[in-house]
Amino acid sequence: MKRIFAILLALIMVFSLSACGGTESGGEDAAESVTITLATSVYVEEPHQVAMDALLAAYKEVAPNVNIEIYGAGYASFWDNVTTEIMGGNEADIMQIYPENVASYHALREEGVFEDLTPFMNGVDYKESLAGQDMCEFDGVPLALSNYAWGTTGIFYRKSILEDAGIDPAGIKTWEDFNAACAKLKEKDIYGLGIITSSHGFVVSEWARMLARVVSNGLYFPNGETGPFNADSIQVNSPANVWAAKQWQDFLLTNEYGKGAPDPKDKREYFYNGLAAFCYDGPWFVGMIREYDASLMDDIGIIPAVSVNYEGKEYQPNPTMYPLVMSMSKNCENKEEAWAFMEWLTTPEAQKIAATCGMIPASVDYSTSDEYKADHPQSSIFADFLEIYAPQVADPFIAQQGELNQIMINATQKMFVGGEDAQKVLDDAAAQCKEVMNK
Amino acid sequence: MIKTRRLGENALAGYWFVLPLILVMVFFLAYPIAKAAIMSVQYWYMPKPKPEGHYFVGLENYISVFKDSSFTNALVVTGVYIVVTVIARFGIGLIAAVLLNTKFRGRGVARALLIIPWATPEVVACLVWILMYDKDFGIINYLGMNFNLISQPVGFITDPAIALWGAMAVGIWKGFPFVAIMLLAGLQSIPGELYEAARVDGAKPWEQFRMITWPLLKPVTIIVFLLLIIWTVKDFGIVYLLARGGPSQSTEMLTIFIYHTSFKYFDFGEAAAAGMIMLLFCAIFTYFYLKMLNREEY
Amino acid sequence: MKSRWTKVIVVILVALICAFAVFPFVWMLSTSFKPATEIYTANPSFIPQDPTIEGYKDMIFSQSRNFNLLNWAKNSVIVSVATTFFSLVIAALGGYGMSRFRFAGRAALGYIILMTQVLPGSLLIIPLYVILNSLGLLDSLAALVIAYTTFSVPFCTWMMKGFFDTIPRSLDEAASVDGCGKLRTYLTVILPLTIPGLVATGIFSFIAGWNEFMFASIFVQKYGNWTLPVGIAETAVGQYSTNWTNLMAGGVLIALPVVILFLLLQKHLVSGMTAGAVKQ
Repeated sequence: MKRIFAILLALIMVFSLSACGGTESGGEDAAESVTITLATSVYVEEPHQVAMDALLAAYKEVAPNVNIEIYGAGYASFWDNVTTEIMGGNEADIMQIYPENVASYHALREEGVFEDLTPFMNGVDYKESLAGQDMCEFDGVPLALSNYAWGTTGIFYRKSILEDAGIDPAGIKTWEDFNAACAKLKEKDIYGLGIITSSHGFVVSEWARMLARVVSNGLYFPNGETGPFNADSIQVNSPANVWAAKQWQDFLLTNEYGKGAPDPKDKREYFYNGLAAFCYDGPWFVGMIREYDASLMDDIGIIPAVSVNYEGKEYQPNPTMYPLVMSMSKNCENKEEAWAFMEWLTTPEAQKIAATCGMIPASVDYSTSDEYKADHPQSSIFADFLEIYAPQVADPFIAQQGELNQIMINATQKMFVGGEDAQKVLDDAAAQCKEVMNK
Repeated sequence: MIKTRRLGENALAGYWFVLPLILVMVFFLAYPIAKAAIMSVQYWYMPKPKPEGHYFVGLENYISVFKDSSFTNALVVTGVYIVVTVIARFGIGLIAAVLLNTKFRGRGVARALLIIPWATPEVVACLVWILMYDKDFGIINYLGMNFNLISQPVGFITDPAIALWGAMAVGIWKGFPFVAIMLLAGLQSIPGELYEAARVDGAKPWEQFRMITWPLLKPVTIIVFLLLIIWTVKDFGIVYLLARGGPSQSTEMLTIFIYHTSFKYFDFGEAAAAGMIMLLFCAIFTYFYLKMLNREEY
Repeated sequence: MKSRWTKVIVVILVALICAFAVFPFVWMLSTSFKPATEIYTANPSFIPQDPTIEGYKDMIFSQSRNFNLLNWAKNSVIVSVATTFFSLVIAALGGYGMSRFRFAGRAALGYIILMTQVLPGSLLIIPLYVILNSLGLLDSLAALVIAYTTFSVPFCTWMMKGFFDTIPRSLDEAASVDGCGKLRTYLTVILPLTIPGLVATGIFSFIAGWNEFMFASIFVQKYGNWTLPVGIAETAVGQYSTNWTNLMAGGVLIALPVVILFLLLQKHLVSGMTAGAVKQ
């Protein structure tokens, strides 16, 4: 009996130790110090981890009494976790998310989840100095600060493979050029591109970025996916979008220039392995290639995305930027300190550290500086692409986007895997989207 | 006499013993279920918050669940999944149990190896299977092509027509050892003398199985079956980690449908309603099953 | 003659089934020693051509400030042990109560217990989250222990009840005739007889706590508080790339203790789980 009680006691002690250990932060610090929690989905990725650790260390020098605690699951689980946290009233002080998430999360609470940053901004117009800041306004109110980095997409290619097939990368400027190049590759039994064809969100967004949005200026809503956001504006089945779907079907199913992949990682593997000569990706891919096989770096080139000719008119590519932005929770207890950190991230010294993650730093001054171009030659190429690209078009920033996206995922799978008639599928999808908007 | 005197005392002592259980269930199960039940009759469509807040909407959420084609799809997927997985797990498990019940060298090793799928954590298991199932680089496609079993690589969890089968294979793999071990224990508890006597009487192996094995195995079988069905209905982790309900919602079981409705579409009312419906189905099923179980005992 | 052929067939069939059972684990083991270039290749092989232990080294000795496999293992152990302890206590008490005493609502309780097995976690996650938040327990291992105990206790109680049912009432009666009170009867006479059942139930709840992923990933925020499944899944499967070597190494490390535990205790596990069923 005594032994049992001893064991029980030991277990109880272990258990209470663990419970204490979990909540030790903030309690025993000196009265002055302040703890701010930061939730992000990219800390699990190595390039971002290195950059963030360096940023946090640097900020410790600037504001020693502020303790930034970072957490966050990987990309797949992060968004559900944030939803649960917000619903439970337990979200982090600062959340690093993408502009497309802001509206959905903001709607989860009646009074809004995120703090209006106008009073903190003190009249400074960040839209001029920070890339992606224009995506952070909702109903005219800035709910986020684009203070980290962004990316856009371009086309990576394998120099040796193109040489071997007699293709000059500089000559690939239009969608027709690209198809011609893929035809040449096909003769050598090599694919042009890996294309996502699973239920991953990219099955829609790759097509949208490369073709659909270029010619239609909006997959869901016109005018660059802007409002009014109602059922009547849905243009999923507009002639331009239908044409784009047929083009993609030809590319993937008829001509087999594209190789179906279940996941972005697989399509990258095709690129590494020489199964595909091109890869439609962003600046982060540079770091990944280097990590996979540094010697491969010499065989890599990057060209801008191609323009598309539709009904006699040439449309410039307008792929989304992916700025990682930070929003402040209304429940944050130390708003001034939180804002100080968020704002510090936009300073040149912070941006320099952030740039090490491989994406393009948000600060326009820094990203266009010679110093940045010298330090990060490949990433900075993407910044130059913006001069060719048309104004970028992103997913509509409305809370119903989750449902609309799912409808399009189903539709694109029907068209690009099942090969069904594009007009019919898109008409169906449009009807479903209208239903959602009418809810 | 003694019994009736003890009855009153019995009840009180009984309550004390089950008190911790009831407390846990009330606080951490009953309350969330109650909250979910309430949410199911309120307005909880987060993308369009209403000034009236979460007002009472009656059965609207339930109606929209039934009208939702994804719900019907989820019912079909779940139905197929349950039937196939339960039967396969049980069948393979039974065969394995019968086989392991015969004496041969290495029997202990075989039994130990069988435990591995059961013991492997879900997360780990799913990740290995994803790698093995890969259409271009997976070992299963590689072996299949090399041994001429298939002419083209198969997208086991990326092809909408096949994905559910791919997911079920993993579910079966993970679940059959439990059946095998339980049934094996049941088989081993059947006294050997019964078989001896039957053989002396001239009974053939099939008759032995029918007259001795099957009836004596029934209690274990019923329990195993019930547990199998219950756990399979709840199966979320495996299928979710493998395919997240895709492709084209071909693996979206009811539990995943509920999850997506909450976390992707932010329609918590509809999700709660679907959950309540699922609860109702299971309650009815369990009720009838238990009735059958009790009848068996007499 | 006939029996030899049957034996051969039996052995072949068993070998097939075992191969099916073991193959993924073997593949996991093999992959954990392969460098990245050998994993995504059109010609995979069982034996790595260029074996490496980088995966294991990386996972165990990781330099990162926040990601520490050993720390996660410690968390998993704490959570699993605590869950097992509380589940056993509550289940052993409740099972005995339901087995021995006739009280109003006993049948209903049995029914409810079985029903709780079908509860979808996704339905309860948000309400549970809210409760734990109001208790201030979020982001602590205690939250996980509570959640896991809640979900494992009903089934454990049911198993223990089955086990208690196999112990003849005459023992209780003999003890009370000897002058033992109910609690003393329970603790000194009956409970020790159910050690196999306790072991079985204990293993069951330990495994449930060790393997669980969904609740762990949502209830625990800080990296330092992650449990093993969450840690492995979140760090090795990034948005950008999957580090399969690390992932499989981590998988082997998590699965190994469980597999060994199962192997050591399988006799008890089986007898515990079937004792009720077989004699019922």
